[in-house]
Amino acid sequence: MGELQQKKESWGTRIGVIMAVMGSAVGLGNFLRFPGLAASYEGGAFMIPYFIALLVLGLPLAWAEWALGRYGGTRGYNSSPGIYRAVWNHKLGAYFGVIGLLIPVGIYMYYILIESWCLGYSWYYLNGAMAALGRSAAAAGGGLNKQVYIDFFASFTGSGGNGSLFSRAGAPTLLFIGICFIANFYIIYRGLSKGIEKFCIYAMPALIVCGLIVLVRVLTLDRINEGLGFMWNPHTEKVKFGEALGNPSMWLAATGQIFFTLSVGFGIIVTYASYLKPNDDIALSSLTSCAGNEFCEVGLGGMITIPAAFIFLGAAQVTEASGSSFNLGFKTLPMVFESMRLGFVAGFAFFFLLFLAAITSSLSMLQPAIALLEEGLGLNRRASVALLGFVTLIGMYFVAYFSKDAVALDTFDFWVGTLLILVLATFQAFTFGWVMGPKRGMEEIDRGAEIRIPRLVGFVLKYISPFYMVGVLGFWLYKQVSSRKDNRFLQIARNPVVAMSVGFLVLVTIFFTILIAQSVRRWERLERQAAMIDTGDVCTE
Amino acid sequence: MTLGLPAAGVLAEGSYRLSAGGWIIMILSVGFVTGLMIWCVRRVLTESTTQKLHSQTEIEPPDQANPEQ
Repeated sequence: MGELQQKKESWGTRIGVIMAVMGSAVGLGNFLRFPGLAASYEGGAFMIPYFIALLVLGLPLAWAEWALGRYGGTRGYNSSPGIYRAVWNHKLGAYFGVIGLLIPVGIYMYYILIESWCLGYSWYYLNGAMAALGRSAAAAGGGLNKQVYIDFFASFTGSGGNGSLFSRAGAPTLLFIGICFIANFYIIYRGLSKGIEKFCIYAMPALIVCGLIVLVRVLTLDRINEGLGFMWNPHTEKVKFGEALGNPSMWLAATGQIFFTLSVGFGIIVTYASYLKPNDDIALSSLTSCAGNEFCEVGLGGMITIPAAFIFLGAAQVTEASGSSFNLGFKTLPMVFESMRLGFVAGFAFFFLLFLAAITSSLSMLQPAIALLEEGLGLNRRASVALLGFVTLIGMYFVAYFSKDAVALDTFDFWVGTLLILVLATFQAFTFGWVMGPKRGMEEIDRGAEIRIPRLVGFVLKYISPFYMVGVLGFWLYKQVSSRKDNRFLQIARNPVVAMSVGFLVLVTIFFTILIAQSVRRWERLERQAAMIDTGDVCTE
Repeated sequence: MTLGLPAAGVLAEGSYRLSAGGWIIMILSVGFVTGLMIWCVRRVLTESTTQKLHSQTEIEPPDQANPEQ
């Protein structure tokens, strides 16, 4: 057996890989971004384009990504450069894989901070610090004072000034960041089956249990009918149902949400699916992961966040907060939990749920780079974990240091967590639809499948998904470029922290490109050796 | 800015009550995703033949895969 064909790791159980992919997809967006977005567009009407996008774009692209991953995995590759190289049968494909590495690693560098905020908030609910904060706010002057929660968040996250997290006041936050960072790398070091899979098998059911606890509390609140009405009514007094459906921005937002929530185009599913065997089912597994993610998003997120916030804060406050996940999650919801009976239980359960959602996602962000370091450079687990730990530590320090107004975090999120994801998803849609082709692609999906995928999916993946993705990407870029106020391109020249953040990401890109170049040389050398052995020549290398 | 528990007058009473359309969309949406998840998980768990994929111990290390090399 050649070195490339030697599988180093694989999933232990089928439910394990499903839980791991579901854990990767379920994140803060399910509980904060989706409800805020839906509520801002007449929630009930929003669900129409949302489900159409799920069926037409989300599920087919998820099947395609699973298929690409397993195809590459059966040829001995687990990293996105190796997988794209195998599908394209050209080394240029490997260099496109740099996006599949930069996205998860770049997101990890800031996502670990958000993860630590969730852990910190859940701990503060458990030890009574949030309750004390609420009491002090109430004592300061009649009812709850939002400013107290805004100040607490600013102090905890260091958004008041650059470097403030590294003062004495930032010590608790650094402790939570350290705990999250070490926990992630310890689980990754344990390996795919013993680490990620084992953790997700326990964490995902625990997440759903936490969600159900909060859901029960919210559904038993007074005036829940109005809270649900604010979230789910397909019309308002000003906007009729038909008018809402005719809003193109809503269709674009719904499509974008489906796309981000399923983690399509992150470079993670291809890596996870590459550890499957050639005849393992991917059709039902992919559908199950997507269904679990949708349950968390629509069934839990859609029923909890906005209805609860509406009941205690009213329409104006919720509308103001729903535009930002941070505002909604870390400044507004603590007020809501403080206002309700047994709010400390609901608050702990909710932020611990967010922490579990975040850690199962952040774990998945490390595996693609680990896969490249192991298979491309031949490093062992310890060395690859150490090298990636060093790189992500620098990135995390950068984002944590430039914490004023979360400019570095926001810049990373825009360039890596939004733009590059759209680019990679478009690339993958073309790779499946036009390089692999719908016939070969559907054969790949069908192999070992336990459910039959409609033939229409092949047509959609060739003629609709790639061009739809180009349209979404083009429209999104146009909106960015044409915007004077929030033009991200102009911000690079205007804001030195934005410029440094983009420069840092360029350096990481160069680093991964060098690793890929080295990996390609190694793969070519191994292939030459294998060819010489096959033809009976003596290998002298 | 201080915020207390919302008084009844914060919202026009009943203006945001769940309408018939809201009920229908909520039940269909939540029911669809819940039903789909239960159906999928049930299919996966009852599929005993492929339940176990392959464990760490089933993978041959390179030196044992072909000991004569």
